[in-house]
Amino acid sequence: MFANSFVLIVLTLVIGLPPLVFLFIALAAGQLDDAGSTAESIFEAGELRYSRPWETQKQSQERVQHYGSLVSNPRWEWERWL
Amino acid sequence: MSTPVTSNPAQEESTVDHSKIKVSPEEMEAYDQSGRKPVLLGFFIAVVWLLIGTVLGDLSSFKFDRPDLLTEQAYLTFGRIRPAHLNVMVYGWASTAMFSVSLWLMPRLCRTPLRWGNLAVIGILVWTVGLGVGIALLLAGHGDGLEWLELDRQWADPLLVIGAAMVGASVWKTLAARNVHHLYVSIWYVAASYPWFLIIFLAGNMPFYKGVESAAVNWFYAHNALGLWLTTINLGLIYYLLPKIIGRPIYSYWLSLVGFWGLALFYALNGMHHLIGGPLPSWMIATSITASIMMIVPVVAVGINQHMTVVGRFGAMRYSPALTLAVIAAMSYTAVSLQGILTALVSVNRITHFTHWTIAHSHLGLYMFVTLSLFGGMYYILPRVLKKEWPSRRLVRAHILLVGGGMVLYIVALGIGGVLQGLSLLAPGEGFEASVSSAKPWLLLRSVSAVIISAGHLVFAYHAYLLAFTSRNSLTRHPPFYELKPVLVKKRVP
Ligand code: HEM
Ligand code: HEM
Repeated sequence: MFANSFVLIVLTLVIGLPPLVFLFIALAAGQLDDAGSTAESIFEAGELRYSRPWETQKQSQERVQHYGSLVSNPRWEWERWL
Repeated sequence: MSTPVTSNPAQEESTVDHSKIKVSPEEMEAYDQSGRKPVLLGFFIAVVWLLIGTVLGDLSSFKFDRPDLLTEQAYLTFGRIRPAHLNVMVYGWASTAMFSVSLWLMPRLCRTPLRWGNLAVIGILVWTVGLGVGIALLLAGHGDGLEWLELDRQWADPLLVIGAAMVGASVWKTLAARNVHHLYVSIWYVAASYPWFLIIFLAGNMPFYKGVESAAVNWFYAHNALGLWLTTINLGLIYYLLPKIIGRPIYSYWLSLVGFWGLALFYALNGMHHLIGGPLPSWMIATSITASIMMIVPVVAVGINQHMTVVGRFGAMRYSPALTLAVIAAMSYTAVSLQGILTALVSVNRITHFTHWTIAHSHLGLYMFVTLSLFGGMYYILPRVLKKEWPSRRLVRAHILLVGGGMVLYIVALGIGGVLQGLSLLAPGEGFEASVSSAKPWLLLRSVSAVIISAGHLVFAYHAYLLAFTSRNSLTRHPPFYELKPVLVKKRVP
């Protein structure tokens, strides 16, 4: 009776197959084209240029190279905590 | 299941611009405020459920040490308190907090104010009423009798479905109104979770499965609830928090997509590994074990990616409670998945099934990964929505140390106790009692850890209360980095 569970096979396909279709739609729509700028899209203007107190000199230099000269965090509150 | 991609040329044009133009901090603040009501409501309700679930978890744990504790009233017996703990924690604490996380993330990622926010508010309330009814019925002795699906299918489940659908509608409406073309990986995770959850929850609760098939569908549901609901929204959150706080983009955006699509395509095959040794056709178990082993691909992709994003900058954890918790959560995701893959192997499962090892695994996943990720999210999100800073770094530090330390003790104790118990159960010469005695000291340790963790929860709830309802130490200005502070050390790092 249970050698093949029809219900389970259907359920698994209902969950597993649509992502395949969506993957192709996403590919066709160019969703996966521009990985670099998508990864950076979460940052606010200037956010990547703030100097960060935990970074080594080398890491800060890399930041300057990639994003331009460092600016100090314009707000004062967080410094109280250092 | 992700977004239908628009072919609307107007949207495409505006979106091309948006991916070049960075959003201003003021704009971000406006997005945060657009979801203020549902986000705060969800977090408030979640913390209340967390406290209730803690009492239920503690009681369940103490009953292992003192089986006669509180047995006079039927509603206080283990058989009711334990499923109540599971349901309160999974649907009350984790899921409600995840609603808030989704409703906060979507506007930021889609660069548009939250849509249908009031519907989301109603959705969260309907969900909560449904859960309240379900838990009351469960404690009164009315449940569906299937693990993870105990809530009454007549009175509670419909409300849960309606509630989640309303929150999901708000999430998807916001997605449809987005001002970006390329979807950041967190959007994939969060948006996909809602249809997934609704489909599996509805399918799992259908009343017509019989016998072994009922067990199979039961674990199809429970496993996907873990992987396509609890895991996905928290991975979405971690993929946002890590780069944001560290201040550098995710190591490889490609790997993050491999992680997402790997999970989406293969996770549904995993469920039957909960029934290894059960009376199921062997091909189903074998398929599921194979799929479990294949999970190594998305798991390692996510693990490497998140590790490489933070590597060399772990010092930042000293400044940020949100980052500290997100990093521990991310590592725990890798750890619990590798432990799970190990547990899915027949030779291991033979020893560990029916033992406390599984409970250690559960809490490594649902606590060290899911719950810590949500705590981290709350540390980051609440100040931004309330426009106030957390009042006390001492309370932050106490909270993290108590819950982190307590849960490590919990997991290690039950991990060891579970294996000893399993070996004892398999030893032909030993009676069942020997397996009980071998686990007893470890269960006592778990109860000690339960007290420690509960203290951590009280500290957190008190601190959240101070933040939300008092003006102690509040800051009205809105700094970009609330998290930039060494909460875990006192001195400036060199
Ligand atoms: C104060 C913290 C906690 C304590 C003391 C605790 C304790 C317990 C105990 C004693 C059990 C029953 C174990 C058994 O039947 O052998 C249990 C099960 C469970 N708990 Fe917790 N728990 C805590 C936090 C959480 C949280 C935050 C979650 C979820 C977000 C959670 C999810 C679960 C689940 C899903 C189970 C069922 C596990 C299984 O069947 O494998 N717990 N917990
Ligand atoms: C590739 C990843 C994973 C694999 C292969 C896996 C495997 C397993 C297996 C085989 C069991 C059944 C143990 C038994 O009953 O003998 C199990 C139980 C469980 N797993 Fe995982 N796991 C994985 C990831 C996770 C994650 C990420 C979480 C949490 C978010 C999680 C939470 C749980 C819970 C709560 C249970 C207990 C269910 C119950 O009995 O109530 N697992 N896992």
